Amino acid sequence: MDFNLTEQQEMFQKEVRKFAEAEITPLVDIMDKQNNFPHEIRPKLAAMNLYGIPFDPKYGGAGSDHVSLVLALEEIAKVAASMAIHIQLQQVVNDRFNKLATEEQKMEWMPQICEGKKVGCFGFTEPDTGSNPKMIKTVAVEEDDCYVINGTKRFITNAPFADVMCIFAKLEGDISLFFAETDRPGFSTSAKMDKLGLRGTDLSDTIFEDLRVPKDHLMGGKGGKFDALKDAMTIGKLCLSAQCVGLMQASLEEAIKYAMTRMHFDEPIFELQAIHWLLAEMASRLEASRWLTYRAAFLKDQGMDTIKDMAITKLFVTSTAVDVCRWGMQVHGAYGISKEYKIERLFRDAKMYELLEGTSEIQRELIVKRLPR
Amino acid sequence: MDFKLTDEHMKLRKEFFNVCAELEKQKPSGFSGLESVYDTDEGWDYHLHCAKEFAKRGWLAHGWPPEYGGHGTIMDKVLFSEARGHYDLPGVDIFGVEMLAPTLLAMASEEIKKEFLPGIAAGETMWCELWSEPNAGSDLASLTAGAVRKGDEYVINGQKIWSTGAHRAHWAFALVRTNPQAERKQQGITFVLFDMKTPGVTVNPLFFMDRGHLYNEVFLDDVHVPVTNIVGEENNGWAVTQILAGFERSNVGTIAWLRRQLSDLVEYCNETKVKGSPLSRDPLIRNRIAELACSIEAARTLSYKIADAQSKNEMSAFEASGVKVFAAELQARVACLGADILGPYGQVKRSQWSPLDGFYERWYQQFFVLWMAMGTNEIQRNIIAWYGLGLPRMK
Repeated sequence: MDFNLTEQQEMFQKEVRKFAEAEITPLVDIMDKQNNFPHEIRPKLAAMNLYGIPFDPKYGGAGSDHVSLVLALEEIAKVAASMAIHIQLQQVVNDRFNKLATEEQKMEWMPQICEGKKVGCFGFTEPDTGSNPKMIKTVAVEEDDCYVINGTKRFITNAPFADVMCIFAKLEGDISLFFAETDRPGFSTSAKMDKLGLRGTDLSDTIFEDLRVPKDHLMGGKGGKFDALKDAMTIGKLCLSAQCVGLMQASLEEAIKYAMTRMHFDEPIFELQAIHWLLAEMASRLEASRWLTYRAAFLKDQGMDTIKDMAITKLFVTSTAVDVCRWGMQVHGAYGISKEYKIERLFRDAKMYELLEGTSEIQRELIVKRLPR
Repeated sequence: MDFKLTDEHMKLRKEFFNVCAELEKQKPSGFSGLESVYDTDEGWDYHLHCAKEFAKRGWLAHGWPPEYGGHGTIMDKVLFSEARGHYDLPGVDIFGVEMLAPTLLAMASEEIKKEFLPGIAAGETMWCELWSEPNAGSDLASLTAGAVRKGDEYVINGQKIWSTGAHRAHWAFALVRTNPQAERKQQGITFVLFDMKTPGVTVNPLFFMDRGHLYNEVFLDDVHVPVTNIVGEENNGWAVTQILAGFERSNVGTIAWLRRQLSDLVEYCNETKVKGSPLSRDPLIRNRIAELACSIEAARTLSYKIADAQSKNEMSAFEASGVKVFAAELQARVACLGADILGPYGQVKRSQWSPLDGFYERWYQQFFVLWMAMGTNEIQRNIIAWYGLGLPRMK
């Protein structure tokens, strides 16, 4: 066993930390307060290879591993979780191309996504189904030289400005996966949603009305793509967990900073036992979450079946992040609820993670089904 | 022991609920509690309208002596509070009616009572509290805003913070330091009243995390206040603050409001189908709702017990602390349960996508307020430990 990062991973972690502090910090208010995505950051993210960390360099990737991916997302989320979600979506879309597209399609799309020239989004959630994708109502029908897709997807991150979308739809009664350029007739998005946390990652419905895509836009052949969805969600859960670790780290640092300077009965509140206990609890939960996440990434890099481990990681880390950020607010007292301090944003952002990529309840079901008996 | 209300109380309770139900029909679209009162003009106008309706029935002066226009008993006030809580109605100025009026009745001069009580009972004068400062919250006695006496006036300078509704209020009651040389920091503080339009009063917003405008910071620069505008004696303001512990603190209104929220959530779960089956059939959801319903019922019983003790002058301070902690934590549990049940839809702001009028997106951010306000839950636990259980004081 070896719990040390490699020299390369450590170096990458430091570079991303430096980059996030310098380049992303100034964008936090644009994202959170104005609820806008700052597109000028895309070339800079691409220059840091953040859009394609684990992918082959021939497709524009960094040729690195999933441990590096979680290290990067942790550092980015520590500064702005909204930015990390945007990056995650690029990874997830690229991952689908990497595993299911033709060589020609990979060469066409993956480098453009890695370079930040194109943005991807990913659609399986629908108005009437979230955690149970088998019930999706979006349908594709084969017609001469194309497929015609009809339906609506909900809560689609990056959708308002995406160039390409991965779409799960029922074809001949079974789940298939397509990709579609978003400038095709029949593709539209709703107004942008305004939401509690992770603001600035644009979110909307996508609507398909006789959306026609060429036959080669069917990814990995007809049907049987429920497993592809589960696989995509596995990567998603890993990315979300990494971001929660970043949020918790930021929350702990903010709480310590505040406790050291806030005077109460003539001494900093850092001296109070009640505050010690909160901080100690936050630190220990953070460490447990961090190593659970790194382990999940390691298992992924080993090519192991990680469905249960990712569910365990996602369940523990995302619910822990909600607690840790809430405790961070409690340390701040009344100041925690004002816009003057960063902790309120961390608290709002943390709640979003419990619900993405399958709710905590769904994770419990996945875990129980895979327990030895 | 008798857990039933008297026939007279039942009749009154019905009247309170009937009037509140009528007023609820006039609520502006999207109205949501205290935040709407202070944040929007429509909410503020509605607050004033409800106040007038309550005032004309004498309901803003429950428990006051008849010579000041008083009406009814503490228990009447509790029942009225329950009805308002159920319908989430404004109209009772928490600072004027709930805090200042009982303080004036207990400690103010006859002149002050006659000058200020009628405006409160009529629902015409709205107040704010200027107590907390950047470095004096739970440790309130550390406040530094100072008042220097010049002739028949005080000249006040300093900064106050977390002043709820100061941007709407007509008048303020403030704590200021009139003797910085006092031996103990609790000494040398005076309780003063002044018009918020007095020159030198500047109110700046402090935006809440959901961008709402409830709180303010208030700067006092050479604010001249007549020396007659004090409650209690000069330098004895701390004693005035302490009598607040004796006021209505059953939290029965909060508990009634929580019951209503839970009932709305149950209705949502009955009407919303997932995988073809109503959410209310999900064992996990049923379990959490049932647990919460039990806790709310326990809190309701506790709050009635406190109201009863208070109406008989038998209440101890730590009992009110207990129900305050319980109510604050219940609010958090309702907020988290709603957010969990509504899933991603519970995190979307009020719009075409948000069920229950976007309530849980707002409430998930607002439940913290009771946790912090009126003495944080940590401070309340200290009170319970010290006064209730006799445990030693420590850091």
